[in-house]
Amino acid sequence: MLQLDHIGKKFKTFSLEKINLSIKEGTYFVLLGKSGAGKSLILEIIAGLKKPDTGHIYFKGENITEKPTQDRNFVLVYQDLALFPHLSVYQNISFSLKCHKISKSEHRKRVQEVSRFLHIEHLLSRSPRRLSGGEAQRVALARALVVKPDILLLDEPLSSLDIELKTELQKLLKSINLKGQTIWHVTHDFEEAVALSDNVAVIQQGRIVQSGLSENVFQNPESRFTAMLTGFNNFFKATLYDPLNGSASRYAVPHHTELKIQIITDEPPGEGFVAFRSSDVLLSLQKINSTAANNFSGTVKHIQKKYNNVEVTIDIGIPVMAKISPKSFNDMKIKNNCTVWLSFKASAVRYISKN
Amino acid sequence: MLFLGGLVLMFIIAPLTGMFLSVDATQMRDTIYDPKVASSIRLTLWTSMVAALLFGLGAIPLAYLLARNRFPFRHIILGIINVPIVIPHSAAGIAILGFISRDSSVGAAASAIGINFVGQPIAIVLAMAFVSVPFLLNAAIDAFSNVPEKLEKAAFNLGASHFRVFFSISLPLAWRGILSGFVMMWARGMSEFGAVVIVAYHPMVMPVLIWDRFAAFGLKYATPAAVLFMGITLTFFIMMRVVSRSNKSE
Repeated sequence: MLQLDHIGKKFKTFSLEKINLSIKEGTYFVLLGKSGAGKSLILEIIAGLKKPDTGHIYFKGENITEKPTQDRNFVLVYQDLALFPHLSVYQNISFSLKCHKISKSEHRKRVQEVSRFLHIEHLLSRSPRRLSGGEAQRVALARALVVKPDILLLDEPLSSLDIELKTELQKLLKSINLKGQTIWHVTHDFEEAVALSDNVAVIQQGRIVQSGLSENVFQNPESRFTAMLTGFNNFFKATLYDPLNGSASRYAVPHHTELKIQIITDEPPGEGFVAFRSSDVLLSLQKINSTAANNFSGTVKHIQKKYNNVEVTIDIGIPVMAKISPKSFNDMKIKNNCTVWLSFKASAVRYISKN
Repeated sequence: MLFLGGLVLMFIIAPLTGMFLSVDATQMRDTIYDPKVASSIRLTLWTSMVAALLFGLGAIPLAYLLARNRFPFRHIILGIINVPIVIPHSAAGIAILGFISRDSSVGAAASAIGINFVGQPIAIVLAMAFVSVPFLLNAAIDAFSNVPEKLEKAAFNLGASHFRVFFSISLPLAWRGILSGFVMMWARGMSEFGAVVIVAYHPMVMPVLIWDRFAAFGLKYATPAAVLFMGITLTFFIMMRVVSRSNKSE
């Protein structure tokens, strides 16, 4: 449906390099990358607000690279929403209908329809200045959806919302997508990408470093950057060895340690990286018998309490991060410098070869 | 520090207050009902208004272009805009006179179809516009620059033409700043003496009339006209402050 073919754009200190991506109709596509990676620039290029220096954009087979933004029907919702502050919510939503010279009776019908769907009928006469964050998000979505865009482009739409609103809006975005709306969403938040995407691409400094079906990308990160970005926050340089006598799995030894981390991989022995998610690490006060192949004892070095979890860093020769619930944290009475056991399955560990 | 600041404030307030207090009610009433003064006030108000409206039509689009685009020599254009503020206004008057007198090509062409600029209200309008248009331009450039570009991009993306984006997004969001620049231009045009007196001594605008009375009859005769005119210009100045304050509070 939409294909970016060798899209490039150069600036003094940054450049997009040969971006090749394509999405099918009805897909929820997420472009994942850190701030300044070029995510928003790609969105503006797709929307027709910026021209690429090289490459082409095809939509349903037609080359639309030179087509002005007004004629593309790809609507972009900015991170800060860009609601027109001097117009009412109704005027904001119907703005695009006026531009497309749609009759006034059709205006009313469409605005009613979209505002009913997004539960903002009671806000239509209000000024955008008097909306809460969640309300403003819904109005911005309504303004975009009212023209029935071919592709809805979302620039970090959830980044400024609190957790409750974020979850609510995620559900809403997914329901919009399930109605058949193609969505291209950019974010730096891995969990947001997991929750929403059918397909995902990871961008690093203007280059796509991995793309494909979400489950493939998230389960098999191909680089350190992708691993870190997709939640594999335990990541170490290591050397991979063939299985020990009597063991089915290979093992990796992180550099400067004698730890042996069991891994299920088909990669040949050599230099690479081991990665595993902090949520896959179990903590206990004593060694437990389990099916987990990797069991180590270590000292708690750092504790960081978050909204709905606690991140505990344990030194086992390498600093390993474990994510546990606040209840477990309180029950185990974990403190700095106390000794704990940690375990994780060999199947939870990814090995990324240097080659 | 307070003492020094107070001195500067006194320096502004004292002469003006002294002038207001030196005029009694009878003198003021006589001045208000003086037909020459009334006619001069009318002339000053409408010529300065026409100057602001006429040149505002061109100044607002120019300000938008300068606020939104980066191009070679932009800084030079921004400098040129402010030249009328820094040059002596008598020199500005001479420049305008050179432009519109019958010796110039513009003046000669106008004369050929029976139009004379010099000594006419149109010359006053041109002189007032020349010295006051920078105030509108600078205010409008600032006002347009303060409109987030993202709002214009969002409007383009929603299908709006350049024309619609300008009239439905940029201008409505910048209008308060532009209005305060417009009022400033009008007030500045009204109080112009140096440039106007060179292109048109007659008919007399108020600053020329005040000068004329001072030169012919002395301070006592000029002061009531000066006080009356100051009252008018101060009214516009206060209006401008009110507009810009309400702009900030939004």
